[in-house]
Amino acid sequence: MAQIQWAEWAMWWMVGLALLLLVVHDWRGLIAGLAALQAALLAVLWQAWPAALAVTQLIAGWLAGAMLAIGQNLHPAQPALTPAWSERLVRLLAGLLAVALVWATAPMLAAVWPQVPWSARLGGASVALLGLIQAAWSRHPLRLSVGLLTGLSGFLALYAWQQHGLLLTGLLGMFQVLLAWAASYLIHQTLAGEERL
Amino acid sequence: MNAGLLWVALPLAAAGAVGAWPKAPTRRKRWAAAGVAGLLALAAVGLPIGRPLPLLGYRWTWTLQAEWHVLGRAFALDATARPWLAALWAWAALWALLAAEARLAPDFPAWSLALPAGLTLALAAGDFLPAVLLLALNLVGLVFLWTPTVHRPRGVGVMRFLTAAVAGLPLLLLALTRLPGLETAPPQTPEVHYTGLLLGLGLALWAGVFPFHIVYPLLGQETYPYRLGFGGWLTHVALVLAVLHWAPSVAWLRDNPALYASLRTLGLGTIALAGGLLLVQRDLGRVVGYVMWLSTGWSWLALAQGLENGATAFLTLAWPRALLWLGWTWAVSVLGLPDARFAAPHLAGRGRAAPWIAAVAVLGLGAWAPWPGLGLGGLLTATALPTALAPWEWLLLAVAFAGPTWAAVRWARILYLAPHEPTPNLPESPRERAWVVVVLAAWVAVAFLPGLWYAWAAAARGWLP
Repeated sequence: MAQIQWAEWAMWWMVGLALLLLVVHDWRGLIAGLAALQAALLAVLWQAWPAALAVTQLIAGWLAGAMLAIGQNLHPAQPALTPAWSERLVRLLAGLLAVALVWATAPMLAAVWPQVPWSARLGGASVALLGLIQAAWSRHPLRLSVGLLTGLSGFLALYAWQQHGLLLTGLLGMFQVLLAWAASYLIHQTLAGEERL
Repeated sequence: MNAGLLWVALPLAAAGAVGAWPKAPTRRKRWAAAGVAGLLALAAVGLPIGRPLPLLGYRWTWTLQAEWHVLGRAFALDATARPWLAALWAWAALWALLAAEARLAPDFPAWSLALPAGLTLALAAGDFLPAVLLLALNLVGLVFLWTPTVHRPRGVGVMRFLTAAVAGLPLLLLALTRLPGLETAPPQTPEVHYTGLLLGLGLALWAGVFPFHIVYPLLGQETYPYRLGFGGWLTHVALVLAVLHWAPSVAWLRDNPALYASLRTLGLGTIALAGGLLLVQRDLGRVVGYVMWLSTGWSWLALAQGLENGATAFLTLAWPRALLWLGWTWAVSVLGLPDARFAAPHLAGRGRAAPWIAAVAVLGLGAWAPWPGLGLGGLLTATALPTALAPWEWLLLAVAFAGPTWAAVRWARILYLAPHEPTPNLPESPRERAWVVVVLAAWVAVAFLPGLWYAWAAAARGWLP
């Protein structure tokens, strides 16, 4: 019981971190936030998946973050990702609105996923939506990929209660790492590089 | 040895070797990639799968196993997979072969092996769930192929494509999780509606169905056309094949007239809207993007005939359209040289320096119109629309005809007649003219030998349930 409560706290940490990621402007802050989000996801997945699979997901998530950091660090002189305070405020308000929207649709979500605990249901859907907002709002590859990885974390918190398997976990982990690798490549190539004949 | 080692592991290893080949130009790497892909296509045609092959006077035999397992999941490439396997690797070989002529960077030959290998693995997956995950990996892998490496807009199209690819995956996984027990449910139940909605949204995101089509012109504007044609067409065919392989097991997808009526409307709407938008494009790269969208419209029209006939129609169209994509995007890519710019002011008058290549670019664009009774368009129309059309459908078809036709005329005027800017105008070489002849000969052969492609499609149909 205490363990479940711990996972519920981790779920709400995930929602808080996803909101924070919407407004953080420094790339180091984004990567650190993503790493913390993955650690909170571990606590949630621990309840649904065998420990080894949950840890595999944590490693994949952290590896993805590390790859993004490497890609970004190749071009440290980029402009700030979110320059204005007003924009950050709008992002935060949009995020809070999205969380409120998920809470408003709680009965519908309960009907659709009755087997998922309520905290994972509401928290997972909130984090997934916040990640999508982050991705849709951004024109910068780093912020976009952090948004996509955040969204995937929310989805995993929901999905873990419905299915698990070695190949599934492995492929989802590979997907996150490949996504981060592709985003790093995108960051690097759009700022430097020429087509060589 | 199993089929997975031959058609997945071997090309992936070869892709790694070709990619890591130090300081080799595209011209040399493409021979290696085309050679491996060509051999794999030949192996798909001739190598016995699942039967012992006598070696050294029948004293030893060697068997290529059709099945293999990865982490508890079954994968299989049996003899029925031969036609699409041969086609996929033949396309890869042709695309690799023309890569140097399209002036691609040396990374392309490796991708011409890696992408078909990934798609082969996805299609070999026994269940749709791992197939979806493997297709998702391939979609993300396309970012490496499509990321602009020249001075272009900041990869916005690639980012939007990545967003669509990632957003589609959870929807598909959630739909597939809900599916057990619903396979034979009647289509009117709320559970089926909800699962169908998740499935439809996920596939729409991946296939760039309206309103998610916006990614096509953005990609067209910033990605080299040859790369876009290769990756876009191969993944489109693989996605449709994977769905066709799985969908017959679900009754409300197999026997649902409303679904096929919607596909028909979607297809006609797509070819009309994409054709109409072609008329107002001032960038040939965006034209390529819109044509890619238009091309998916023809797929939906073909599939609207139901799983049985639709699969044959789709497969009949697959070979001709692959050759059209190959030749056309090659010509467009060469026209944009030396600095890969495709806006109308930059291409103005370019056709006078490269008249043959410009002719392929113009004819290739015009060929996407449904020319009645003749050529590739006629084949498209005959295969995809065998039943009677309502008046409004005729109207949409007319727009789909007028769009590419008028766009081809317009671009012919820009390329041949407009005064050009003082940009370097590269004259075409005799070697390029030879390739033009090869491309045009292939197009003519495709247009006038529909029976050949139909026979291949009927054989490929054997892989589907």
